[in-house]
This record gives sequence, structure tokens and C-alpha cells, in this order.
Amino acid sequence: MASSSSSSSTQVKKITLKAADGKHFEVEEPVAMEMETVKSFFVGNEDAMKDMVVPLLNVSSEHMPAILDFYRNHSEFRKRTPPPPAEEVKAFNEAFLENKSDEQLMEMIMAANFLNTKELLNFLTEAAANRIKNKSVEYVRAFFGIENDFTPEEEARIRAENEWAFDGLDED
Amino acid sequence: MQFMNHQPTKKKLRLGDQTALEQDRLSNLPETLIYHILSLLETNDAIQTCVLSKTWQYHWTNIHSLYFDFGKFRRLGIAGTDHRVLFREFVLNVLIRRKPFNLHKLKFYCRGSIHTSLVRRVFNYANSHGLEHLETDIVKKFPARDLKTLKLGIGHGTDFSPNLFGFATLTNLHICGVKLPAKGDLFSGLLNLGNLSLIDCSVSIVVEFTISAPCLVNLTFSAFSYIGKKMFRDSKLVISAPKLKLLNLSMEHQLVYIL
Repeated sequence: MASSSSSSSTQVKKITLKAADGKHFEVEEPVAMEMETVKSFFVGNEDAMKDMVVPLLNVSSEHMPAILDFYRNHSEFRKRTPPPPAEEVKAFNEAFLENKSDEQLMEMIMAANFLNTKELLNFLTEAAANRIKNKSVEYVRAFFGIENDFTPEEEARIRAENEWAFDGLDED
Repeated sequence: MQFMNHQPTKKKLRLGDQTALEQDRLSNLPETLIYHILSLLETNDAIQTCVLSKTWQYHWTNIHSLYFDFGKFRRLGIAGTDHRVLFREFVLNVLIRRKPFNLHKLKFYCRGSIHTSLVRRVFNYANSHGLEHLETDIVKKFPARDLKTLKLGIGHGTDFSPNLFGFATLTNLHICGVKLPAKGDLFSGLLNLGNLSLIDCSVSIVVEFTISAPCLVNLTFSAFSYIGKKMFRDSKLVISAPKLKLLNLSMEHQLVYIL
């Protein structure tokens, strides 16, 4: 983004974002522009920048600080030359996910999807995949909040029909 | 993998207690996101979600990436079954049942014991489904048409001498643990190559080993060895890459820069 560097000596422009529950967040412009949804809000509407409040209908204020923190850190990682060591990025990412429940992870996936930021979305969906891999059917149902609408007979039939997919595999 | 270490706290997932609350949580998740998450799993895990519920029965057929590992099949020792047969049946079933969208990524690990005809079937499928990213341990005729990333992890100093000239779209090449052919300039046909990593590779006696690639930006070169010790001192690594920005070298070597 070309906008940030020249104005850094003066005051950094801020954009106000409004979470789903009405709470406001003042965010530096380059960070806000990491979100395609926010960016597209201003396209062809540059004059509006100053006092416009951008409503983020699908993002709860609970997740805003973490999400903004992710943008700040990852955009810094991207700009750095040479690129940061893999361990540093990994450490940040692990800390980011620590103590996040499955519910919170899911809500953040929905938020990242709404905000249309590929990097965050990829990161969070990868985390979701890691949480369900090699887990039992019951675990995965609980994770996704799926109600089993098969009768035991039906489930047995589906398993039998897909025997080729269950054969010869470790179930751990 | 990398994010697994916070798992133990979550292991005992509430089954009965919170179900009412959870009921709606993920039914809201757009199907495309569910397909994406399933695509990140090993393909057998993705398919096994067919027993979760009626809605989920065919979700897996929308996955955009495939991940096959023969090692996973070999581990289990059912007496009297040939795991190569099971693996073949599994892979072919997936190719038939998966919806015919383009294939984003393929991870295909054969662990040295898969029949060529299966490899050919899979690579043909990949080629006709616009495969962009390939990770494999097989050196065969790669599905090159739309390939952007190729990660080869072989080990044991297997000979590597494919013709890399068909790879017009390739931008990332990562080769690990192979013996490179002694004729230099192996990569000059890769006109769009931006990232090249050669890890733990060897080359038999040559005086100059040349890497020339017009668009190369990042080059990582580590644990490189020459076979034929007495030549080591006189050997040169020549890098011709006018756009090179990052060079990550870990070896003791004479370098000739042509910039």
C-alpha cells in the first residue's frame, strides 16, 4: 500500500470501525485496509474517510482486538527484509490461538470471511483443520455442532457403502 | 503439526452439556468454508466426515485439494491384505467420486512402493484438472501444464533428471534430498521461477554447477554436497539470476557471481 509511508511523520490517519454489538474501534488506516471489506467501503469515497464509521455487522467486539493484532503483526512480517524466521511467525500464531475455544475459533472464521482477509482466513481454517484431524466421529460432530440425523442402521449403511474409505486405515 | 500443542485442554469436548448452544454455530458456516476446511485434511479424514450427518454425506466430494499418503496405509498390518491394492482402490475411488472441479493442490506420497500405472492415473487426473501445487516423493512425468509450485521430498539421494522445460508456469521449486544431474543449468528453462530451494542435494563431479534463472528472487541452498571428494576444492557454484534479492547459503564454497 502506497498511502502509509509518506504520512508517517505527521499523524497517522485513523478509521473508526463499529463491531456488531456497537462498540467502536479506532484503527490506523493501513491496518484497517488489510480488510477488503473495509477497503471496498471507501473505494471511490475518499472524502468520507474522516468521520465515517464503518459498521462490521458480523464481527463481535470480543474478537476485534485479536484480529487487529493479527493484521498489525502479519503486515509487519510481510514488510520485513529479510523475512522473519519461521519460528517467530509460528510463535506469534501459536500464542494467537492459545486459549481460544472451538466456538471462538469458529466465530473468528466467520469474521475473517466477512472481513474478506485471505491471510487470516487461511490461518484460521488451517487451525480448525488441525483441531479435527485424526479425531473420532463424535469429536468432529461436537466441533462443528452437527446433529447426527442418521439412525444407527443408516450410519452403518453409509459406512458399508464407503468401506473403501475406511479400509486399511488407522483410526486414532 | 504446528498448532496442535494447545490441544490437550480441549480434548475432553463437551458432548452432552452444550449441544443446544452449539447446534447453530456451524450450520451458519458457509458451505464453501466447510469445503475449504475439509480440503486441508488428509483425504481419508475428509471422506470419513460422510458419516457425520445427512447434510455432510457428500460435503467431501467438493474438496479442492487431495492428500494421499501410502505410509498411512502401510502402517496397519491386516494379515493377508496387500496395502498397495487397498491404496490403489482408495485413490481411484476418490478420483471417480470427487466433483470435477479444478484441483488446487495435490500431496501424493508413495513411499517408494506404488505401481507406475497408478502414479500415471493420478498425474493425468491432476493435469486435466489444472493442478497448481504439487507435493510428492515421486520423480516421474509431472503434471506440468498449470503447475505453480513443485515440492519434491525424496531423500536417499535418488537420481533427479526430469526434463523441466515444460514448466512454463512454475514459480516455486523446492527440492530435497536428491542427486542432481551433472550437466549444469538444470533450471534455465524455468522462465517464471521466483523461488528455488535445494536442500540436502548432491551432484556428482562437476567443476561448475550453474543455476541460471531469469526471474529468480529467492534462492536457498543448504547441505549441498559433491560426490567425488577431491573435486570439492575446485568446484564452483555459479549463480546467474539478475533479479535475485535473497540468497540463503549454508555451505563452504567458492562463489562466482555473474550479475
